[in-house]
Amino acid sequence: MGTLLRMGTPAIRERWAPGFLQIVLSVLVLAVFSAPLMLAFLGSLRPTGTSPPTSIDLYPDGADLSNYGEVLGQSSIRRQSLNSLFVAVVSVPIGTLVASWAGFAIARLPRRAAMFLLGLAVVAAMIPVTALFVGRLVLFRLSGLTDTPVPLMAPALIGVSPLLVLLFAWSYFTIPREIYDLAREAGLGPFRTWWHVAMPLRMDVAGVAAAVAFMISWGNLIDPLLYVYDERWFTLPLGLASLVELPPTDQGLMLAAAVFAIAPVLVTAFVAQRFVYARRW
Amino acid sequence: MGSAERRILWLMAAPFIVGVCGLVVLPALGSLSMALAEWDLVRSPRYVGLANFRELIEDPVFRISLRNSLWYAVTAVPLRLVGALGLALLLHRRGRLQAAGRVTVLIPTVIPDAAYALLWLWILNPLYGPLNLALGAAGLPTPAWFSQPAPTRWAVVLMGLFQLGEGFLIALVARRQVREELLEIAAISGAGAWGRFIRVTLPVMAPALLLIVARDTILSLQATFAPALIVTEGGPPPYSTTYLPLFAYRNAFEYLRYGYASASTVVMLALTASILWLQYRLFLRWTARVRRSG
Amino acid sequence: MRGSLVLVLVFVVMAVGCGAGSNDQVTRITVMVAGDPEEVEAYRAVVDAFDRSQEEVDAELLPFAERDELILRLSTSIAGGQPPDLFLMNYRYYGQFAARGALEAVGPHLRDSAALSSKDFFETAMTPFEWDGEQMCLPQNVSSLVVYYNADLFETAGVALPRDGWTWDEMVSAADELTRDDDGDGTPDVYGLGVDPEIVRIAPFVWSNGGSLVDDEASPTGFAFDAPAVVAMQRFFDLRTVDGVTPTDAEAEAEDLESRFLNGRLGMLMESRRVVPTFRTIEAFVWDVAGLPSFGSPASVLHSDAYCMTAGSDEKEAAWLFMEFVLGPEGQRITAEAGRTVPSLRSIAESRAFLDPDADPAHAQVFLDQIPFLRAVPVVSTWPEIEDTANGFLEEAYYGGGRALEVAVELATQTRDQFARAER
Repeated sequence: MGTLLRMGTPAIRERWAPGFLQIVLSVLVLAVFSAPLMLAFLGSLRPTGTSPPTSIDLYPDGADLSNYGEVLGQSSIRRQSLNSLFVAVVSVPIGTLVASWAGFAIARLPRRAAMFLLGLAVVAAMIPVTALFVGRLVLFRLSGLTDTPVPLMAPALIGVSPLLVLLFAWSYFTIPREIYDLAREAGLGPFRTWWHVAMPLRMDVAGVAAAVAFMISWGNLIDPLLYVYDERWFTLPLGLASLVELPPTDQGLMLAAAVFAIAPVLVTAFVAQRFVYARRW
Repeated sequence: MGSAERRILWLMAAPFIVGVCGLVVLPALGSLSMALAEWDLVRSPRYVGLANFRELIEDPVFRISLRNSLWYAVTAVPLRLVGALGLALLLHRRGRLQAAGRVTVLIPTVIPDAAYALLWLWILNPLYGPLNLALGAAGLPTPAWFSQPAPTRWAVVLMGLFQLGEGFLIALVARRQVREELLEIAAISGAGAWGRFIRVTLPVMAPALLLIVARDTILSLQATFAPALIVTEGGPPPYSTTYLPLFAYRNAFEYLRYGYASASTVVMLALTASILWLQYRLFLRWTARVRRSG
Repeated sequence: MRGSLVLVLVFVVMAVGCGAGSNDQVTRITVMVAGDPEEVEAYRAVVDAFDRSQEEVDAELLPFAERDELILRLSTSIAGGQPPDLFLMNYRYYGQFAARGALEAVGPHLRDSAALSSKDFFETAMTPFEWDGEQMCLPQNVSSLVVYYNADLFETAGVALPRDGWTWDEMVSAADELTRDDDGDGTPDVYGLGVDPEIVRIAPFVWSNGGSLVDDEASPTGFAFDAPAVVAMQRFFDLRTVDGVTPTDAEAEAEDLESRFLNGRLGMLMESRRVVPTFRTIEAFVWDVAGLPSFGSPASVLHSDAYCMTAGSDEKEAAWLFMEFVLGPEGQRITAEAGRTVPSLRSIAESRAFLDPDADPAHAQVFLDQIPFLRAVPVVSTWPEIEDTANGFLEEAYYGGGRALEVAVELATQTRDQFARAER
């Protein structure tokens, strides 16, 4: 069994050290891609009411975290954050599960059935969300679900993103047939094969999927914009969108709110990253 | 495979199938039929046949939106693919620097769209934003972000370039499928870095790359929505950053013309389908050539 | 399975949530409004006063930061079957809802009312809210475009304050004196004037010059700018391209005009009454208002918001009760004192609540003086689309040095379809 497992994974031993060019490029990438957030964080330190910068003023005079206090002090922001969290807490487990099951079915069904399911997932991933939002509005309205958090959680039924289904399908497909055969010989049905064999072998993919599902759910702007009208159910992206109109003297506040909204996503991405690479090696 | 097994597998897939029917198929069919009507969702719909499509063809704003969306796709997708692939090749190994790089590349992608938009709204502020302040200090020209058409279009592309996390992840996973033994063998038989890439890495990663291109093309037809809605508001006039999704959104939710907006989304659908079909044909042709050359 | 547990949890939470909301004794109504934080405070004050004045109805304010957001939320909630009971909307944008039968006419309620009567209101504000011969909404204000000015800047520059009946040329000359470059870097630090290049800002000057906007005020089929209209438009464009007294596009993009005025970097600003609650927070300088400069005959453009009831509301009686209070003497006094409105109720407009000399602006009378000269832009259901298109071209020409004649032709052709689609 051990030999079989190792066959599917890339070579473990690696004596590789980064070359000079690789180091330089990697550092460049680090700098460039972290720049927007870094700049925003620095900008958020500028207290409201101070005049906007006219020269590069990376660490402004009187910089402090007062804007964050103001952001957290706004009850609307707090409520919106809790709503976003509530939606995510429901959507992510359900979505990951749905995507995992569907992906497993695609990997294991006989060819024609698998092709059909695969086609369904590809089509679902293919259609732009903006082509569907009107149709969905009518559907939600007819079922009386507008102005509730349900439309915000509904994407969980397509795995939050059909792309995750494809991801799971691919990952389960790369598990060697011998392993599945062994599982069947051991008397495991498909469900238990998924639970005892496939999932553990591909936990890193599940981790990535769950992380992506969270990030999609947390950052969802379109669905609450169109399906939720009561302030009580507004989510954080809506609150952020209304900060656009702040004048330059108050942009520190706008940036603080943005950084606040970004923080949970950063944590998730970091955890997922470590999760993926810890298990493989 | 026994029928009992098959049944269980179908059961496992059932929630997804239900979801797709309810959230994708039904709304898509609904949009298709709404495109043939004039409906404001308050009064009952009025069947108008192909009148919406005729009006679309004549509508200068629609034509501009279409052109803008196509320009964005043609510009952003190749750049994002090259970026995602390059970054995956650079950052796929273990190592603290690599890991830090991976996380950093992902950051702009995973940020909520609304927060991301706010960041750039400030960074690209023509007078007070850090980018123009830096350019000005270096003596370089400071583009009139958001008040001139061309810089604003490039601003939207720039925003999209930082968000290649999805493609990056796919490329990473695909790169990991390339077995190191094969690369070692190729190195031993004298292939250089570029040769190893072309003969070993690329073929294994090809399906993933196709997935990235396909996905990005679709995304480009809808990813412009948040920036256009929050940052540029479709301007600067006339309509230089009004893309198809914003066009549909405005007509549906601001002018209450859901039938007309649905017609524009049907066009989006057709466009998406034809682009993907084209890419699929190209891929078939490429794989055939690879197989022939052995 | 963990998944199904979560599902059960969701349903339980939702059931509990839905159940906890209902309360049989008090009727709840929702009111959608849009405005700056200070404006919203004014609305909140009157809503609280309403709640305190009686026991049966509890009104909840749903504020939004932007008019666009309000319209979006209103449209989607009507489409979604969950409309608010009331909303506050400008006469330029309510037509799309009236034409679709989404509104409950207030006319019958008004006629049966003991507390209010139509003749208590300024007719100028009432007429635009008549649709198909029936009064659809009740206006809260009869505001108009005026010139806000920074008195301290005028004094420093040694320029005479705007006088009654001043002319366009006088205004431009004052703006020119006020525009100054303090630090010598070539770009002005203070501009003399700020005005958004929008159709609703240009209209009063077109009228003042004796020109016309559309072919038929009552049932317009399109823009029809005649020679005086084109002249006025060109003079408007000249503010930026010839006189240079207004901010450039990059400057306007970086900081909006309201913020500029608040920070003392604008000598004059053309706006409606809407900004007064925010401007009352100004402590650094003295500000006041003056009437619009004219080209010959005095004219200004009506800015009026009204409370409208939705046809989909389940609590129309309660909603009317709210309207009677908010638009009656008590409610109008509160919003007038907060500075937000030029009251639509004659009695309050002429009272101390609006004309308090100790409250800014000191010359609030200017708003009342303009009422006889107010004209409304055409009320058509597709006006939001028309405005979006028109403003796009106007903005491009204003900052880009376009010629008014070409713009006038462009506007007429590009909006013809939108006018044609309008319903009455």
